[in-house]
Amino acid sequence: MKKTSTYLPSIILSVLLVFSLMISAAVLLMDLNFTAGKLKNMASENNIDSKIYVEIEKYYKDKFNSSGIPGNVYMDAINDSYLKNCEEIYIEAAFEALNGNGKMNVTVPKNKELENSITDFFFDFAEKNNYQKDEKFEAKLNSAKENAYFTIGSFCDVYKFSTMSGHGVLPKLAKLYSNRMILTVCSIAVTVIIFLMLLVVKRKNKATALYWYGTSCTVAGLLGSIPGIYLVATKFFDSFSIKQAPVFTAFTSFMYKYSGYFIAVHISFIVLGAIFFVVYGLVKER
Amino acid sequence: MSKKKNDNIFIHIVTPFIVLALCVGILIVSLIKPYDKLKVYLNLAFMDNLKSTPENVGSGLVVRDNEIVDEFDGVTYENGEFIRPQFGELYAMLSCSAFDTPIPVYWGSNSELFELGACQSSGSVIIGENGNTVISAHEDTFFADLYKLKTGDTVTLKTNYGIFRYKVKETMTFNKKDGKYVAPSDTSKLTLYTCKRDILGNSDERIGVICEPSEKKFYKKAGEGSTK
Repeated sequence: MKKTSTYLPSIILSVLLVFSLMISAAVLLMDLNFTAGKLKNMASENNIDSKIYVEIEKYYKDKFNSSGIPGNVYMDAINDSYLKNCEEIYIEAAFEALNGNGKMNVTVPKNKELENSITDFFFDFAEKNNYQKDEKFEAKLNSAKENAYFTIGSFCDVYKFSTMSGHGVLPKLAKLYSNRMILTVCSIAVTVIIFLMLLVVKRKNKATALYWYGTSCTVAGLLGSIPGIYLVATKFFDSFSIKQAPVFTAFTSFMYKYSGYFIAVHISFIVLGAIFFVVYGLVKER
Repeated sequence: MSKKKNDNIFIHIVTPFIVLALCVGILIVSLIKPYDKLKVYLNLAFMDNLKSTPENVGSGLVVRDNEIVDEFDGVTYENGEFIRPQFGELYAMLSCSAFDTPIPVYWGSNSELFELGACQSSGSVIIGENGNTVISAHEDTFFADLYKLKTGDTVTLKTNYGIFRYKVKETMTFNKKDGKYVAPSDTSKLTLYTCKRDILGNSDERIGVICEPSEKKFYKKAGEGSTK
């Protein structure tokens, strides 16, 4: 502790250990929690499918006044399980993209009932209003069907993966995500190496290394947990500006859950740091 | 011997704080550049201070119906203090010759807010600021008579920080995918639009007007603090 020749390297290694611990925790948590299965479960737990249904219903109710197509033409033909299926297809497609080149390739599953409902309404409407069933009518009918799938798809993409893919965010994330295993292994390996290096620096008095481990773990724990606790305590993510119930719920529930895990890991670092300090104190006493 | 022991205890206590200070310093320095790059996106994504309360059902939306100053008899200024609205807040009343009654204008677009009045896109500038102020509403309710606005008509927007008048410069029709009318601009303008009725169609067409400012009256001078 006293010698500058070991004190300075110990400080540097301790600082490096702080960052490697934080990075390892973040990467490991992302690797374990950012999976298609976890997102699907989270969506299911938060009843996102029924929220999507309500949102689409509102959308078609609004559209009725300009299109003349009542919302029930669409809503009677779709249900929560169809929407859940669409939502899961988007999540799976996003993770395929993340594991590949980041380009999303997704098709909303066909719904015969929906197509028939739209066709029936168009023909009924034409009959009742003497609307000519010409090419323009056919084009409008086809466009209504295509647009229905497009609308349902965009509402079901609650994590807005398509938008991210379109704006080039997903391809950038894919570079990181597809190498997550390497990143996880590397960050853990770096942490272990720094642990060993501290032991080498303190080889003459190995017990002192415990003090430095304690310092790094405590500092890493504080640096990770305090901002996390602040975000959760002030409900920061509630200020998310997309105020559409399914998107808002999907995003905030993911962020709060991940923040919760992040805080838990960093609090465990503080506990680990305290244990290192206590053990160091006990060894020193002897 | 005792002094050495005391020094050692002092170093033991101080060292974690030194490491903490170093780490905080490194974090701050290394985050300045990425934060500068992401600031705009972060402000857009988390732009309002409204938090979840029991009154909002799942969407995080809290509606605030403010009383808007109708008649102001004090001194007014050409440049002055703004009151920045929060998402879901009623912050202006729009009136013009085409509408029988003033229309409430909410900050932010959301299906619940469209039920209550006209909505201003939170990506546009607030009324009176330099740039494009974009306000839309449903064509069957609040903007049902928007098509009646003609070039030269006056549109008035009353807020709690001032009264702003615009003259209709041009009428327009555009596709919803064409973002040029709702995009930010360097010049001050007001864009009002709604859906175009399209029976059996997809309602992709929009109709609206572009207005240019003709009069600005702020209730407080710039720097005097916000007017409530």
